[in-house]
Amino acid sequence: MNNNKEEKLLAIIGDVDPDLIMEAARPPYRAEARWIRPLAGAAACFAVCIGILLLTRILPRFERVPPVDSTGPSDSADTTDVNGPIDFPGDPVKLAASGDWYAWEALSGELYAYFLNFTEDGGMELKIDPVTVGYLDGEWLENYSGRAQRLTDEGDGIPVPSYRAELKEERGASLTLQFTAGFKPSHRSAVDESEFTLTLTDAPERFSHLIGQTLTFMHADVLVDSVETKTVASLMAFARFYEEAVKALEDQHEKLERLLHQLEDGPNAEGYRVLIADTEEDLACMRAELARIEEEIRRLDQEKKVKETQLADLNAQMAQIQQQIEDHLAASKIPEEDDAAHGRAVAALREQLAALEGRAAAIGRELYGTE
Amino acid sequence: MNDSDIVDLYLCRDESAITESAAKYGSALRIMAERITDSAPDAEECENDTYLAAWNAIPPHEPRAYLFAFLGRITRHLALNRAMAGRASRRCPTSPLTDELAECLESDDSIERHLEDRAIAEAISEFLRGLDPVARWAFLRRYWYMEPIAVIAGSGGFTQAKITSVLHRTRGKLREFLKDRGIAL
Repeated sequence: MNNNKEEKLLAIIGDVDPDLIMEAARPPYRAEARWIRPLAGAAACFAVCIGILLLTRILPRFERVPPVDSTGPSDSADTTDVNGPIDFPGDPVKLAASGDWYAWEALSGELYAYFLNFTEDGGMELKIDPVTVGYLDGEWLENYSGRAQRLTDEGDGIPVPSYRAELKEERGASLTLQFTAGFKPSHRSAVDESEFTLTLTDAPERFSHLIGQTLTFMHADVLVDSVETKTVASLMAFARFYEEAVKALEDQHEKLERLLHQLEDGPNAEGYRVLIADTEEDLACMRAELARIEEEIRRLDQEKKVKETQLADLNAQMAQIQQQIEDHLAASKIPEEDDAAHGRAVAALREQLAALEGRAAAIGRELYGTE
Repeated sequence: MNDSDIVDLYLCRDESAITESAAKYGSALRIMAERITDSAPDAEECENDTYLAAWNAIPPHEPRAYLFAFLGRITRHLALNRAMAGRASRRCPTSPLTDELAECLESDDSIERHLEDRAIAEAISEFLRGLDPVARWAFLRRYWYMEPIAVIAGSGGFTQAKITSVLHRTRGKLREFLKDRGIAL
């Protein structure tokens, strides 16, 4: 292959504005990722602590929040911006952590990623990103994005937690989706702040397959690379994503090969060969990532077991020292024994006990997030 | 030492400018060169040649605000020249990148307008400024810093599929942009 032009383009890209190069030295956001990643390995022993934390510490705080009403929107609904003056009791948007939330779904060889962004000012933005792109419809489906507005029912005065989003695509096409939203109810009748759900109640034909379906969003910090929340649970969510992605890509690959076979050596055959090569590359990436995540889950599980063993050993040592202290205290009550010697021994043992308690507390914090 | 101080050393013809540059950016430059040449010794030579070229170029240049971009640009050119010169004897390590960039080029040779490289670079800068930050960052990490997709995804906290997809679309947009501008290479 003669690569002269491509090589020239590659060389010319070297001469782009140096300010752009300096800007690209850092990721566009999540600048912490670079230094967090090495720490993430060291923090792996926090496995499972978030699940326990949610159950023991965080969830009770949300039990005051009324359960999310998931009924559909009223026909007489009008719209009010979620930032508007009307305050909705139990508004799930207002309870959501700001930042990016992700959801995904694989459908007929296509993988769609959905992004929710809860802005600092209490707004909700929705973006649809077709990861594997709508190749087979003969057109490229671009990103849709836009702001969601809350629908209110003024008829009976009871606010329904449903929303309408007017999404725009880069080429000017628009898409209107209507959905209910809220936190995923937990088994304790409260809400789980780690998963936000969105159920489509109305959508145009292209997205009609989504009507009635619930998309479960997870916060970026839970999913991606936060040291504090890197858990087996979040990695398993990631693994689920990759499993679906691999399945979608395999479906797409099969479909493309079938189409290529039909086309034989027609004018579009080369295009399909390129798409197949792209899909194979994506598949290799996804499979490698899935294997890496599964390995990480195994490692986290192993580290958790090691920590639990260490904690059990420390507890046994502390019980032994406690017994020795009690023995000394009991002995010192006998007049013929040397009280001073017992006192010194007890002081030394208490010092050892305090050190062990410190280590046990540290491991406990790593394992369970609590003292 | 900050970049401005290092540039001052170059301007004063103080040879410690090279030591300071190497201490601050040597590793990054060598990695970039090695990605292009696929050879550690070649990369080391490119790095050393970079300091010599910088020594000769400063002054008149004073890249106080973009020293890394300045050095990186030299390294990149040296490494690309070396990689292309060695292509006859073995597969060029930049082939995957040039294959990808082929998507950005029109095969139609009827386009009459040929610009000087500098003008094309300026046009590409303009194109990049118009992209959303993630696409711009991913594009430059891939085609300026020459990073593998896995590294780009890892450093930004994105999935590899996401980066692959962003790059694919950006290449398509660049192709349209170059076509609209009537730019041929």
